[in-house]
Amino acid sequence: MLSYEKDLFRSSDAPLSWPLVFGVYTVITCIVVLVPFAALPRPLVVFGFLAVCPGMALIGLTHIESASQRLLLAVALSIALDTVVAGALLYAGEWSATRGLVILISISLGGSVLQVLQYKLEAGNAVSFAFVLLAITPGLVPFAALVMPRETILDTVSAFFGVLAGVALGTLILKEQLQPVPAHKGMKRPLQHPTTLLLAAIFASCTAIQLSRLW
Amino acid sequence: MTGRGRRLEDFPTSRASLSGLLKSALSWGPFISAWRLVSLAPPWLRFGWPAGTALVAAAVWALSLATVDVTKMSDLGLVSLLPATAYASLALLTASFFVALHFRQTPTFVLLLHVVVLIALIHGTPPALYGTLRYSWAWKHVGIVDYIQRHGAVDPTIGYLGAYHNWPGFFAMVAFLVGALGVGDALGIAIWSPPVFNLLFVGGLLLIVKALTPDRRLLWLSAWIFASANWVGQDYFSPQAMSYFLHLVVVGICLQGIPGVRPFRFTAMRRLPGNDDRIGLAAIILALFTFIVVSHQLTPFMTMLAVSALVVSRRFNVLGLPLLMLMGLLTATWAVYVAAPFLRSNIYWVVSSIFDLFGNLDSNFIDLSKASEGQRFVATVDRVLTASVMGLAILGCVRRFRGGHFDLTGILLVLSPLPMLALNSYGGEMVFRVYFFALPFAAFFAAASLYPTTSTEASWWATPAAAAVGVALLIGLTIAYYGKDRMYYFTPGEVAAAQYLTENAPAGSLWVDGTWDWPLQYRHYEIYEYFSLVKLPKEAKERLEADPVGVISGLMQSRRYPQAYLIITRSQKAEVEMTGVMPAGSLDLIETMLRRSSLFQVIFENKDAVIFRMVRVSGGSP
Repeated sequence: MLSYEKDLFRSSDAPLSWPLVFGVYTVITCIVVLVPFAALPRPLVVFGFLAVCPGMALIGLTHIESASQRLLLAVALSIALDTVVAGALLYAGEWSATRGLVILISISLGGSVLQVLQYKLEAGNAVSFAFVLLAITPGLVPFAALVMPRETILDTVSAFFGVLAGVALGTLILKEQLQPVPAHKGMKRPLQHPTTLLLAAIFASCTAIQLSRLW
Repeated sequence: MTGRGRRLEDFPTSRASLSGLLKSALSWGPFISAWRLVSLAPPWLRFGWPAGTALVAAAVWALSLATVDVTKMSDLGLVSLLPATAYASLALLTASFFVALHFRQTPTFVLLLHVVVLIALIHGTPPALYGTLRYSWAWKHVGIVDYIQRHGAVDPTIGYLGAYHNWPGFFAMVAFLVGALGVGDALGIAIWSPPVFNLLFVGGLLLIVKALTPDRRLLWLSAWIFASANWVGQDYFSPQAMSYFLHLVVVGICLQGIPGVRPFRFTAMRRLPGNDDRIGLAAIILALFTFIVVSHQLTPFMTMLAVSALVVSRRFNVLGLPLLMLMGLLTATWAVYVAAPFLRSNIYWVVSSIFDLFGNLDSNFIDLSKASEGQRFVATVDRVLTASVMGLAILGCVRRFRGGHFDLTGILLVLSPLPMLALNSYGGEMVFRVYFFALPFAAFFAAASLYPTTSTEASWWATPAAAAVGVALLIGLTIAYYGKDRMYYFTPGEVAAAQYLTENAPAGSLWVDGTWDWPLQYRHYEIYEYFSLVKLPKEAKERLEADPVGVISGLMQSRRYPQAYLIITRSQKAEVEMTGVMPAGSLDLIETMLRRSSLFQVIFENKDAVIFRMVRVSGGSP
């Protein structure tokens, strides 16, 4: 198992060339999309951008030393981000490839700028911003659930409260992630709190109502 | 002095005199002499020649396929067309890889090049040779992308292919990609998906195996075995292929963490101690898992089972149970609150297959008694290949254990997809999916049968023996992977027929076919109605043989369709002959009888497809 080594994560270790390369590539993509430019084939340039840049903008903020791991994760994250943006536009009824492209170009440029600023600012804040962005990607799931058309009042109400309870429950679970050990013996962790049980009960009840409608 | 247990690096160095070298070479036999000469070569030559050999193998493969005529495929599919030189190039590539693997100093790019060439040869050949999209389900997936492109929305209650409208993440992403690239449709992307997906799979696998062992030989041999044993064909243009890649990455991250991801020092969060690794990892994993949840029905459960295996084996100690709970919450929310329309129409099937282990197992295999002789052979090879990989995995597991490694995590990961067999048949595919999800970890153990521990020194006979196993696996792969290509391949004539129907059939018309095995539903699919003769009840099928015109006209005469068409293609006939889903020759008989009937008119015809239209008589039945 590869272990965590604290000294690997000094901000000064991160190469500055990466954000510059991907930032310039993002700008080229922007130009190719906005101005038909025969010398650079749009499909090739945009495909390269969508396959790597959005993920690299965020992964670049971490200090992963292995270039192959960095690239692999950038591709995986790019796929996830492309999908979240496309899915959000789809369920919001605002479908437009150009709009999606603008959002992803903004994310990529923002990430590249943050990577450059990382040398001047305290690294943690820039990186944290990126990961807040990543942490809200699962928001696509409750968003799609809330905008789905419902047939009856019971369906609508149970879906509304079920999804809200699910989001609150998910937030509490995330909070659990942030609280590795109780500060003192006897202190309740988020998942042991009565509110968690209440939210779980609401979610389970609403889910049961939804399931009962399937028959 | 014997050769057993000696490594090539132990042979005399370049300082040895020529006479000494010759004497020594004669005493070790010609085979060992060749090894010695290799080991004496300077590094650029020693590691340059495997790279060169890989490229030569690729060139030989490409040249040997130059004269292949894909329309002459036999019952064994593309494998029936491969000349001996193609197999020779695979053998050359395999031998080169195993020799390169033997040397510890071989640069990574040389090993990577071999794996990339292997994938390019195996998975790049069909798109390069065919020029059309392989496999009918891939055409349907293009149709979903086409729907989203035109509507900018999905219709979860749609009658055909409803599951894709309820889990549309992958299709939305591709529709967005197609729009952003400015290309007309997803066909061009879909054709080249298999080699791209296989490269991504290997990337995910390397992430996983790196966490299981520091041994570089084991790492690359696992990748090779995975590429040689991935015969199940889940690498086509599909949500499951993309989800599988992200599944591998999620498991890889969970296994090893990512050195470097401990970034969270946001001012508001700084007060919480020890949060930095956790939130970074959780954010990446959840972003990837979100794609899986919104794109595919089965993969979230496979991912949760794999993560459960890590939690049980206490390997996943950075995040653990809370993350698993979040995954469950996301999956449940999507299935119940978003995909309810699909569940509503399929709940009986979903519930009835729970704990129906034998039913779920039985539904996965083709009926060999009805299949053609060639397909019986292909099915046998599938099974032997699967059993061989699993047998090697067990051997590797035992050798690792004897070498002092008890890989509880790896064993649990191999076993983790098995519970799904008891829960669902997944349309008759579950056993293949279980193999597919177990394969990365089985490949690791299979590789360990050769190099069980880091300190293992392969003896002089081990490399050729391993290469022989590698060649055998590849021969099995070509038969298993290409063996159904006679029905998976669509000729330009068949594509032209599908295109004709798409461009000329009025909305609401009925399309009848022999089987679904043709380039179906790839454009404007939602505006037509579909029926396959293979879906007829048993009694109707028997009547179809006796009176094809009567049965088919009965199906197509309804006035609710503005027009009704019957399409019969070469690929449908191939499927009937190969799998026995209908009596052999039945589609030829139907075609002959319909040509003679005045109720049907041929409106399109080429050597691979024919389209009939039902003749309507105004004011009454046709």
